Amino acid sequence: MRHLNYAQALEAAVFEEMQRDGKVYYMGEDVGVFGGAISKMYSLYKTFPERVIDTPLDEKGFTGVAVGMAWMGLRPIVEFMYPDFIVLAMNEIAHGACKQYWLSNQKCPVPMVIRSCQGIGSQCGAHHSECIEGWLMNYPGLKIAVPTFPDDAYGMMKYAVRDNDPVVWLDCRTTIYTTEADVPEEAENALIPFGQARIRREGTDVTIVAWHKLLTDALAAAEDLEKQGISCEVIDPRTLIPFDIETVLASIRKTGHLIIAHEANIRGGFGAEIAAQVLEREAGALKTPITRIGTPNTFIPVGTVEWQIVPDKMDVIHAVKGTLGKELTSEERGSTEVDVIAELKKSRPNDVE
Amino acid sequence: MAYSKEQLVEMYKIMQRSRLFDKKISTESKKGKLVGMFHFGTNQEALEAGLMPLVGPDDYIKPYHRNHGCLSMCDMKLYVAGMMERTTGYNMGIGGDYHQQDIKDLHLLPIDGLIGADWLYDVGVAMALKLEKKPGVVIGVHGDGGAQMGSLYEAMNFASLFDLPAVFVVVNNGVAMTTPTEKECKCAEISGRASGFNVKGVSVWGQDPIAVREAMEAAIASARRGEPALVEVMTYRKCGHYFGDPRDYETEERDARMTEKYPDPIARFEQVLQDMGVCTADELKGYAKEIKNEIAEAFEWAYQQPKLTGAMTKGADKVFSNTEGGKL
Repeated sequence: MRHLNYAQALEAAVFEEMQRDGKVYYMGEDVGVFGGAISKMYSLYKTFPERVIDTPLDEKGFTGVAVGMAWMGLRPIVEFMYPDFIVLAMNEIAHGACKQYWLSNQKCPVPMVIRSCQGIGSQCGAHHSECIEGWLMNYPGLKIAVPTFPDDAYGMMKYAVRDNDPVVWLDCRTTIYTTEADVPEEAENALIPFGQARIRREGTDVTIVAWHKLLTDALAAAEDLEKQGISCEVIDPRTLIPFDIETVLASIRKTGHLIIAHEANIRGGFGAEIAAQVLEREAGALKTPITRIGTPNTFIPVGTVEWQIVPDKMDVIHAVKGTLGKELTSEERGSTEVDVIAELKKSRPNDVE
Repeated sequence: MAYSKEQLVEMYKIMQRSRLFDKKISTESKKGKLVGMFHFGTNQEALEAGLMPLVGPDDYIKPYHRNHGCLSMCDMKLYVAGMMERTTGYNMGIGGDYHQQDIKDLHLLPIDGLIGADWLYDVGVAMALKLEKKPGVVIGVHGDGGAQMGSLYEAMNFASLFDLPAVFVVVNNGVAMTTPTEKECKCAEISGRASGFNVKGVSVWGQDPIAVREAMEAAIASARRGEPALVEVMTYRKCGHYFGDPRDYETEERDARMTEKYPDPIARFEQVLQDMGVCTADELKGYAKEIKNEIAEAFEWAYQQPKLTGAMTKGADKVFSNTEGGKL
């Protein structure tokens, strides 16, 4: 076992997959010497310079080229500095990657990973802070991975690279350097198949389904609430497509209450899909209506104020107490204070020495 | 003479196959036996006659929606069946007339329904060939409409930057769906744009299969050396955008002017072959008849094939190659 943060675990997974399989390529803007703008994976270019491809500033271009490479049996991982930029390559993802296996009558799979890092944390504003799973989930043929913890990221990235279908892989910008875990040395035993949720905290009073920033917020909220005698079960779906609804339903049968929390905009977010699936299957198990937490349908401003736009731990506490009909403490009536400078340093450890 | 009789006849047959195949679709549609969207390439058949004989077993080609001449690389029966939603045709019949593909065995790359959106995939295939140190070039075809898409310029940049074996073919047939080329761009010759990407661009009169062939030969040879090239085939579409298009956007004056500039390549080549003493009129008629029969047989066979049903296309296993790990 090695103790790694998320970024390190992901780098280890990609590195080992590139070592294992000469068909794996890593490509995108500034991914060579610079190591990529998301998490500076220096070891890749250093060790596999011929398979780490710096591309022109052209998201549509490198995605289209990667699609063609994948048609030919290569296994490219493309990095989008920010997921907002994926709109520029939506044609390539939708028509080139997603439809090809079906159109070829199952003769031509498209084994590619489209990686980006989403949400606030960069202080870069409206064009660099989106959470995009809601845009993508309606499109057939795409798998969507949203790991939050290093051990998951490690095993799931290995699975994503080996999977023969296009995978959109989303990291979380606010937690990419802050979540830590023991990660196995034995790569072969570490594969984590998609579609398996992980219960991050067991509880009996309320079920919270959350990923990325809101997952860490929900776990912090659950810890606070435990002290007040409220027991939260926190479920990390890990992949949204495929989605492990069974684990969620089993939890609701136990708790009778469901809160879904994500950083993405609330309208048409993946929370709506989970709510619909739960109501179709287990409406009778719910003692109160489902609560969804998400960013309001607006945009993220530049700078530190971004922390005031997206939901946080306090929103989760409010939702839990609202659902259970419990009074808020006087402290909980206030808002969460975030040391944004400290957060900025955490999200860019390589820049701020 | 640089070309043997076999080569010249092959070129002639490719042109006839293209035109007669379009004609057959038209007759069958009028009879009500065929439904769907079909695009013809009337008067631009010299493109395929000049291009297809050069496509070798290691090469890949992405035709466009007006390229029935590219049928020369397919099994015609399977193509027709694929076109008619028959399960024994290419891709089980889900592709219709222009989405049929077989990358692995035929090296036939898929045509994207979004015109001009697929230049980049072709370059990606060329990138794979280069990275894997495999022989072969990738030839992507589009019209003047498809040449207005930004992806052509992104594709040329990638191809040039990474020294890829890619050939870009622009069929400038004077009209994009209903919009005349002069209303699309100010460039009389789109090939001029290639030099901005360090790609060799050339325009060729598209009514002479030999001229087209020579231009393609040079472009393909250049691409094989890792120097991508663009060939613009100047021609004129003498048919509607789709079968049934009344073509009322075309003025008589322009049609006459363009027809004079771009005369029928088949009639012209027939004359050339006879003048050169390569073929007699009877021989040429014989080839056309042979192709007509080939097409008729393919249609007859395809009509007998089992029909595709919606249920056959719907399963998660059709969309994903791996459904392990949960319901999708």
